[in-house]
Amino acid sequence: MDGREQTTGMPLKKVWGGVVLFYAVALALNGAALHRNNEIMPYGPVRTFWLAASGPVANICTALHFDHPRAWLARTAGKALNE
Amino acid sequence: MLFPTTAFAVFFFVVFQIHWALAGYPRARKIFLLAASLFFYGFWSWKFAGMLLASAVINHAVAVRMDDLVRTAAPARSRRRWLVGIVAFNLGLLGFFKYTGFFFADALFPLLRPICLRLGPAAVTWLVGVQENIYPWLAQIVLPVGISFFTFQALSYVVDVHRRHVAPADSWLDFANYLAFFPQLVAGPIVRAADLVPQMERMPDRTAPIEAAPAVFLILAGLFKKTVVANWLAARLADPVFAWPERFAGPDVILGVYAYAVQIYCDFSAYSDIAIGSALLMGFRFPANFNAPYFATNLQDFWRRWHISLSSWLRDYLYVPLGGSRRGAIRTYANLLITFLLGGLWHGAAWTFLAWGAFHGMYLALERAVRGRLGLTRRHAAPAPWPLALLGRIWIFHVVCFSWILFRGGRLETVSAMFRSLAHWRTAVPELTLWSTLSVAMVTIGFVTQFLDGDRLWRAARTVAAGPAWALAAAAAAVLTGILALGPEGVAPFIYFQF
Repeated sequence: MDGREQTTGMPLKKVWGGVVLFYAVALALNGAALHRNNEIMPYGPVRTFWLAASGPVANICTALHFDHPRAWLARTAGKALNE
Repeated sequence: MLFPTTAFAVFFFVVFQIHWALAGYPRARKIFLLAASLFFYGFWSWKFAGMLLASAVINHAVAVRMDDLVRTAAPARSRRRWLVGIVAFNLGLLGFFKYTGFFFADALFPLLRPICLRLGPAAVTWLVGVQENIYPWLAQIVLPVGISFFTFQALSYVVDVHRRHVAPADSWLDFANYLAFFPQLVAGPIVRAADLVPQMERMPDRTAPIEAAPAVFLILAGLFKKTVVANWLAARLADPVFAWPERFAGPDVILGVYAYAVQIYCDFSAYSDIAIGSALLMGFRFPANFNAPYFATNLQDFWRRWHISLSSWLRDYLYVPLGGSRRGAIRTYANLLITFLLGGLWHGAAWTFLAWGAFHGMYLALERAVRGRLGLTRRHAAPAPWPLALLGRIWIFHVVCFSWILFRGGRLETVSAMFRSLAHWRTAVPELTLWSTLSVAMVTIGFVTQFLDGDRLWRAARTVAAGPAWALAAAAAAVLTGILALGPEGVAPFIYFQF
C-alpha cells in the first residue's frame, strides 16, 4: 500500500472550518501587503474594485500589527533574496 | 487567472463553498462547476470559453454516436469513420491555432524563397504579395491557452470510447466538466476519461473524508516552487543566459542551463501540485504527474517520471498504435523517433522543439539498442550497484540539460550561440558572473524539492493529518505568508501555459 492509500482524510465540516480559518489568518497576515500590491495595479475599474475591497482589511491588519511578521520576513530574507 | 494570485484565491474560496453547499443537488452542482470552469477560462477569453464548450458538446455527441453504433451492431468501419472525423476535427482545431503560423512563416515561405529567387523577379513579386496578405492574417491568430491539453483529453476520450475501454459519459455535462475542470484545464495534468469522468458523474460525496492535509501540502509546495524558486532562477540566471548567451562565459552558461533545468521542473511540477491539491480539496483525485525526474538512471526512466500524463498519453495513443516495439528493432526505433518528434511539436510550433523531440527520440532508440545488445532488458535487469546508478543519474541529468538548450532556445541562432558560449571559458564582460553562493543554493534547493515527489509528500502529510484541523490551517497560512514574503513582486506566467 503506498502513501496515497494510507492517508487519513478529514470530514467535510473540519475541512470547511479549516479552509475558512486558513483564509482568515492568511488575510490577516497579508492584508496590508495585498493592498500595496493593488495600489500598483494599472488604473481602471479592476484596480478600483480591489482597492475598495482590500483597503478596510489593510487598515485593520495594520492597526492590529498583523502585518509585522510578513514585513519583517520581507525586509530580511525577502530583500536579501530579491535585490 | 493564474494560480498564485489574489483573484484565484478569491475564486477558489467561492467555488469551494458553493461546490460543497450544493452537494445535495447533483445537477445544480454540475452546472455550477462547469460555469465556474468556464469563468476561470473566460478570464483570458470568453470567445475561447465558447469554443471549449462547443468542443465538449461535439466530442461527446460523436462518442455517444460511436457507442450507439456498437449497440446496433453496425459495421466497424462506420464507427471508424466517426473516429477519423472527430480526430481530424480535434487535430484540425489544434493545428489551425497552433501550427498555421509555423507552417507559413517557418516552413513554407523559407522553402519558397530560394525557389522564387531562381525563377526570377515575377515569382519574387508574387511571393512578396502572398506574404504581405498572409502575415497580417497570421498575426490575428491567437493561441487559446491550454488548447494542447484539452485537445489531448478530448482525443483520449473519443479513442477510448472507440476502443470500448470506457463508456461515453452519462451526459454532455459530465464530459464538459471532465474536459473543462478548472484545476487542470490550462496546463494539465492530462487526466484520462477513465479516471475523471466517473468522478464527474458521481460527484464527490460530502460524507466521504477529504484528503485535506496532502492537498494543503501540495498547494504550499507548489507555491514555494513557483513563487520562490522558479521565479528567482528565471529572473536571475536562466533568462539572462538564454537572452544574451554571447555575454557569458562557459561556466555561467552551464549555471544558466542547470538553473533552467531546475526552473522548468519547479515551474511545471508546481502547477501540477497546485492543480492536484485544489482538486483534492474539492473531492476529486488526479494521478501524479512527476516523480523525481532528475533522479532517473536512464532516459526511458526519465520519461516515466517527467510529465507522466503526457508521456503515457503519447505511449498509449501514438507509440503503441504505431506498432510500439512489436515489429522489430528498426520499426521500434522509427516509432520512438516519430513519437518524440510529434511530442516535441506538441510543446510548440518551432524548429527547436522538433530538434528537442528528435534528440530525445534518437537517444531513446540508441539507449534501447545498447541495452538490448548488453542484455539489459527491463524484465531481466538486476538493480545496478549504487555507484553505477549514481553515475547514470548524473549522466542522464546532463543529457536532459543539454536537450533543454534546444527546448528553451526558441531560435536555432540562440541554440548555436549557447553552444559557442559553452566553449568560451573567459567572459567578454568580466564583471558579469552569475556564480554566487546564493545562485548555487537556489539551484540546489530547487533540485532537492524533487524529494517531495511521489509518495514522500503524502507520507509527511499523513503525520500532520492526525493533528487538529485548525492548527493545520493556521500553520498553512503562516507558511503561505513566508512564501509570499520570500517571493518577488508579481507573478510570471507558468512556462507550460504557452503550450
